[in-house]
Amino acid sequence: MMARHAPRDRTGPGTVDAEPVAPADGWTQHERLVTRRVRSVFLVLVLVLLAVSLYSGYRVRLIDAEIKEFSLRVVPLQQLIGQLQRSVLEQRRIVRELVGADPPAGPQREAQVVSFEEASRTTHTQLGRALQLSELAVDDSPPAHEYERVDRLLRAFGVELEAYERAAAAWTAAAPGPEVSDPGAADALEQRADALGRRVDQVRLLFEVYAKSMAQRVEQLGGNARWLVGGVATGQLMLVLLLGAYLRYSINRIHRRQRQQEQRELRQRDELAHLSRVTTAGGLVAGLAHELNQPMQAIATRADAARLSLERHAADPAASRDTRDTRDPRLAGDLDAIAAQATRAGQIISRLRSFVARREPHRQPISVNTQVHATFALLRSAGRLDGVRLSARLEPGLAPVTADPIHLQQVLMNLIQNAVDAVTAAEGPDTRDPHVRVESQKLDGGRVELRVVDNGPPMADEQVEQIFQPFFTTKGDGLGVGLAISRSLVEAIGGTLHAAANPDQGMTFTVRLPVATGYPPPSGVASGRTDEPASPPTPPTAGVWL
Amino acid sequence: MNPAPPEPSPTVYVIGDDPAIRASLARLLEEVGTACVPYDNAIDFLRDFDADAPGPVCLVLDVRIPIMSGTDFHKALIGRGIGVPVILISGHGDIPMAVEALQRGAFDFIEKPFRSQHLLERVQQALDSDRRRRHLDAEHHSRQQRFDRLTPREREVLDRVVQGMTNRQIAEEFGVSSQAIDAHRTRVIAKLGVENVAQLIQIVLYHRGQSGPPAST
Repeated sequence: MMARHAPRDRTGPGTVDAEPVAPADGWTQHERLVTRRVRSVFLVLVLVLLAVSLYSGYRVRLIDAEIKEFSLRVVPLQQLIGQLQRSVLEQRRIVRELVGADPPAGPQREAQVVSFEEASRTTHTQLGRALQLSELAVDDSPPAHEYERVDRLLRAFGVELEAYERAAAAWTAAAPGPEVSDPGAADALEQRADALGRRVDQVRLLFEVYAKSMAQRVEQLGGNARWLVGGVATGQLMLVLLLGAYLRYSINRIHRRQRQQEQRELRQRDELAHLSRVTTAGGLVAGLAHELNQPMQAIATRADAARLSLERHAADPAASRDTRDTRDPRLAGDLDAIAAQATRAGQIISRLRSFVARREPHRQPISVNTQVHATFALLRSAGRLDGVRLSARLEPGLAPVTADPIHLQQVLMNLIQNAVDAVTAAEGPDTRDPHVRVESQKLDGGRVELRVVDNGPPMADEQVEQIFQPFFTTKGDGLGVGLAISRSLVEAIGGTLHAAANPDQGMTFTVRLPVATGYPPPSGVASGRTDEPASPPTPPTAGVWL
Repeated sequence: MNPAPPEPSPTVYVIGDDPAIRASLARLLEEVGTACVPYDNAIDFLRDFDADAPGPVCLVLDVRIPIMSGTDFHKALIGRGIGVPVILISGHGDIPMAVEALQRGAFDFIEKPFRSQHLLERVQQALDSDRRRRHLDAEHHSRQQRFDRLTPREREVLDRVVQGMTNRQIAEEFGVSSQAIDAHRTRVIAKLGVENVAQLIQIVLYHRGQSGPPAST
């Protein structure tokens, strides 16, 4: 990156110099501060969202565990208890029938006894499973105390069941035959059966209450879980959006930076071009001062002559009042000449001024031929041709190119000046007629070609490659940026600049420029219209020698 | 001597590339009654110029003129033995160029911008100078003619008179009488148109100073 040249012309139009000086990486202090702030805000937001998501996820897992617990243990336990009650009721019914007023006899009694034993076995099995479930649940479930109460009751039920079974066994032992009956044992058995029934009712009631509360809690937890899941999803969505926004911000930032970089480079190129023009103009100033002296001298001399004329007439006694007003037609000529010379001086100054003035480049459709004429005028008035014959062979009716006129003049000026220097620096028989010719021509494919041809010494190929490098110069004066700047100016408008040695003698520098958009390539189709809005009428011949 | 004919009017030649400058100078010079002939290049002037034409002339030369630069042209003038006074005008104000031009015999070197009065004065002085030069040339010419009328013996006598020898010494050297020498001397005085020996010595020394040492020493 090139160093900016600090002392700038503040009065020049269009100076863009408001921003603070950028450090080496191209970021201003302000930009860096904003970036840091945005980055920390993003970081905090991401951390908060991450924490909320993690916590919600943890809570959802707990709730899930509880719900699973409910469905895996509480529901089966409730079912088991219901079955237990039913089987106990079945046992009581059989016992009541057997010990009732009209007990069955014979095979009917046998069948009742068998079904009693079956019901008893079923009760045992179901109790075992219920105890298993309630025992397991005690270990790790959150509402452990509920399970403990259930477990205690189940164990009490188990004790009751054993007592009942003992009573049943006693009764059976006391009345081995169907016809025999021990009323005492029968009463004891019935009491036991009632106690067992009460006990199983207790378990069922308790567990029903518990199951209902559990169901409510599970329902509530399910609602919480939905909220939490929604929160987690929202958080994750926000996280994604946030990251997307940050990504977009970063990309925008990089794009902006690239744009700024490009603008800086453009500005630097314009500044360098301006600097180079100023250097060129510095070489022109001495010649232009002389050129400016010409009209000034003519004005002064004319004015003196007119004054002398007036004095002579005033002193002439023969001049009458009548003739005094029309005494000398030469006075009018003097005034005309003075006016014309003053205009000429103004034009010289404005030509130089427009070439040197620092301003924003303004691209517009322009005629290359017009710019060739303007450059010739500037060079001639600066007297920089040193006896070199300068001629032009311009093709009339060329389509305009889109370019800044001063930039195009600068390119032409550099190329012509370069050629003039080459032919004047050369010594030898070839320099008897030092000559530089500028040619313009239309090319196929909507392009226009400008050539600057000289008859100086040709360059070696490796030197041709070097001359477009910045700060390469073979001359004692000058920056050595003229050709580099010219190439960059030409390439900025989509053109090319090349140099090649001529087959016989000298060099040719060729500029190719695209025709301005909206102007068809002038190939016969555009015969009815004028393609050169800005150009003066060009002589119709192909070769115009100036 | 014949009475001098009425003097022909002076002419100023202006040579320069800038038509506005040429026209304004012509206008100024005509205003003060001096004929002015402008040329836009040196070649045309050299083709037209007649050095033998009567009347005082002077040249106003713009240094930067087409085809041949002003200083080159000045050199060419001197090379051709044209002794016209030349006033160089330059806009470059280049001291070495001015020194060189003056050393080469330019009448003056005027830097642009100049005052018209200054130029007119210098033109008048240059015309006077040319007038004097023409006068001196004419005098020199007639004097030369008078010297040419002397016989060889008279020249020998003249040389010795100028060297300060008396009549007797000269007579002894030539082996003739001093009366004969005296007669020679009287004839020499008559032929050269002077009145006495003092004037004779003056004119001889002046003439020799202008045309180099005499051939016979």
